[in-house]
Amino acid sequence: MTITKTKQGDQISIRLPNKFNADCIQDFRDAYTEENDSKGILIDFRETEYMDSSGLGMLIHIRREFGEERSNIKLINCRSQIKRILLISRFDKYFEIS
Amino acid sequence: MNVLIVDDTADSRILLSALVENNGHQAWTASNGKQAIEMSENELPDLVIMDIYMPHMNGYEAGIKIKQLEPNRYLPIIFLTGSTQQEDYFKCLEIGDDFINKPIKPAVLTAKLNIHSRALNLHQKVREQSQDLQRYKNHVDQEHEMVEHIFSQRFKDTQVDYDNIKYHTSSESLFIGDIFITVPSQSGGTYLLIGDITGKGLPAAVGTIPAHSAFVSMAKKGFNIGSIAAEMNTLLQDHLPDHMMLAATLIEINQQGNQLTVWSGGLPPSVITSPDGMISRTIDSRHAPLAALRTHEFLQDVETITLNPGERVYWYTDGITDSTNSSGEMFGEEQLFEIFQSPCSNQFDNLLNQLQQHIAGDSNGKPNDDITLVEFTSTPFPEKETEQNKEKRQQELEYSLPWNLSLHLEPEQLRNADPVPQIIKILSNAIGFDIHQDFISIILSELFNNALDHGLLLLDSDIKNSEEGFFEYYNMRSDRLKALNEGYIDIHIEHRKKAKKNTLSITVTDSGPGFQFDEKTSIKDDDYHGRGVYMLQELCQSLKYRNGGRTAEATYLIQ
Repeated sequence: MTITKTKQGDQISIRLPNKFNADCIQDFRDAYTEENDSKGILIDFRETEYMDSSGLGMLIHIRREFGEERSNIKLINCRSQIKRILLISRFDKYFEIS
Repeated sequence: MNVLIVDDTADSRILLSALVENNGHQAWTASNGKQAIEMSENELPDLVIMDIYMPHMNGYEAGIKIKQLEPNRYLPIIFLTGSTQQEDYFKCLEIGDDFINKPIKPAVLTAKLNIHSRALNLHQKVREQSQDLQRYKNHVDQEHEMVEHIFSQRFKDTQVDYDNIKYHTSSESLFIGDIFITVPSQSGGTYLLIGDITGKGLPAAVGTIPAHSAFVSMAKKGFNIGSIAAEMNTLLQDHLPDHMMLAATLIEINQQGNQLTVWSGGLPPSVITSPDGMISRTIDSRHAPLAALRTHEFLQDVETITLNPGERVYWYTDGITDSTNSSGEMFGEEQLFEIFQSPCSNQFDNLLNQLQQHIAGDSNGKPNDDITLVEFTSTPFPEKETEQNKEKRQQELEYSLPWNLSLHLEPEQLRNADPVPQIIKILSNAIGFDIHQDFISIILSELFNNALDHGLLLLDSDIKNSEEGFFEYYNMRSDRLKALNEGYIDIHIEHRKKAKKNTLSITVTDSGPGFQFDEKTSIKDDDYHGRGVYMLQELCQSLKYRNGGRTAEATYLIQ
C-alpha cells in the first residue's frame, strides 16, 4: 500500500496507506510538494487503520505548507479509532475531520 | 390424408373411395355413425366425409362425437347433403366444416379435397410451430429462473437495513432492470449502488453479475468510488454486448451521514431537499453510463457533497418519470419535482402513492419499466458495536486468563524489522483484545519509538522544531539505525486481573542514558513533537517513567 494522489480541478486528494507512520514521510511529502496552487486538500484515511505521532507531525507539516485556514485541509473517511487519535490531539481545531 | 368416408349406401362408399384414392389419399369406410366413431377412437382420420341421414346414429350426432375425441385437433368434416334448404347448409357448417351436394360431382369433390388438404397442412405447420414456441418458452423460463437464483444468491445480503435509508424497487427489479445494492463501509458509513441497465433480458442480467460483484467486494475493501466505477466499467465493457450499458450512480456516505462522494453516469438528476421539504439542490449525472466508454477514456471524477443535518437525498431511475397513465401520459420530471417541492412529512411514501395513482388507470396498473426510489436522510449511521456484542465480549473477558509476554531485542533485530506489528500479531488472538488493538498498537509503538529514538539512537526531538528539521530528523534516524550495533530494548506486556478489572501493562526499557522527565507535558499549537507523550497520557490509564527515564510503563484499561 502506498500513498496515492489524485487531482480534481484545483483540489488534490491524498490517499493514505494502511499505516500512516514514519515510513510514509517521504511519500507523503512528495504527494503535496509542487501543489502550492491547490485550493484545497482532501486527506483520505479510508484505508488507514493505524497512525502514530509521526503521522500527526506530518499533518501539522502539511498544514504549515498550505496556509492555516481550517477549511483548506479536510481529513475524510476516518475510522473511529483514527478519529479518536485526532481528537485527543485536538486536531479538530485545525482540520475539518469526518 | 386419411379420409374417413361414412355412408350407409355401399355404392356411395365405393364411388367416394375411388375418388379419394384417385386424388392420392387413403380412404377408410364406415357404414354408419357408430362405426365411424369406433374407427376414429382407434385412429383419428385427417378428414371425414359423412352422409347426414343414416340408421343408428345420424351424421350430425356422429360428427359432434368424433370432434369431441380430440377437441384441440383440427379435424374437418364435410357433410353430404341432398337438401337444398338453407337451414340444412347452416347446420352442416355449424357442426361440420363444409358440405357437398348430392349427387356428387367428382370435380367438386376433388376441389374440396384439395382445399382441405391445404388447410390441414397449414394447420399442422402452425401446430408444430406453437409446440416449438412452448418448448422455447419453457426453456427461457428455466433459464430466467436459474439467473434469478444466481442473482438472489449472489446478492442476498446486499440490501442492509438502515434507519436513514428507505428504498423501493419494483418486483421485476431483481434481475432484468434496476439494481440497488448497499455495502457497509469500514469507516462506519455505507456504499450505495443504484443502476438501470439499458435493454432487458438474460444477457444484460448475466453481463452485469461480475460488475455488481466487483462493487460489493471493492466496497468491502474500502476502495474509493471513482476506482470502483472504473473497475465496473471495464468489467461491463468485457461482458456486455456493445449496445448495452448500465446507467448507474455510485455513492459513498460517511459515518456522520453528512458527506457524500458521488460518481454518477446516466441516471436522472438526484434531488436534495431541505428539512422543510423544499428542493435545495440537484445532483446531475456527470458521466456517460458504465460500459459506454473504453477503459482509457473513462473518467473517475467524483463529486463531494456536504449535507446539512436533516437534508434528504432522493435517487431514482427513469422508470418513475416514464410511467404512463391510461391516456399514455408520462409521470414526468416536472410533476416529480412539484411533489419534491411541496412539504410533506413522509415524502417517500407520498411519492410512491402519487405514482401509484398515476398508473392505476393504465391497462395493467403496472409501471412500464422497473422503478427504483431511494431516500437518504442526513443523520449519522449507528456506531458499529452493538449492545449484544458488547455483552458477549465482557463475558469472555470476565473468564479470560492473565498472561504475559517478554521480548529482549538486540541491535540485529532492531535494525532489520519493526517489532511492533509482529507483537501485535501475537496479541491479536488474546481474548478481549480485538477492539483495543489499534490503541494498544499506538501505545506500544510510541513507547518503542521513544526508546529506540532517544535511548539507543540518541536523537534529540528539538531537531524537529523547525520545518525542515522534521524531515531531517527522520533521515538521521534511518542513518543511525543502519549503523546501530550496541544496546538493547526490553518489552514486557502483561495482562493483569485485579478486582474484576482487566488491564494491560506495557513496559519498555532501553539501555540508553535515560532522560529527565516532566510530570506534565503540555501540548502547544503546532509543536512538531511532544504529541506522542500527550497521546499516551490520553489513551492510558497511567503512564510512568522510572529507572532514570530508561523504563516507561503504560497501563491500559481493557473493558
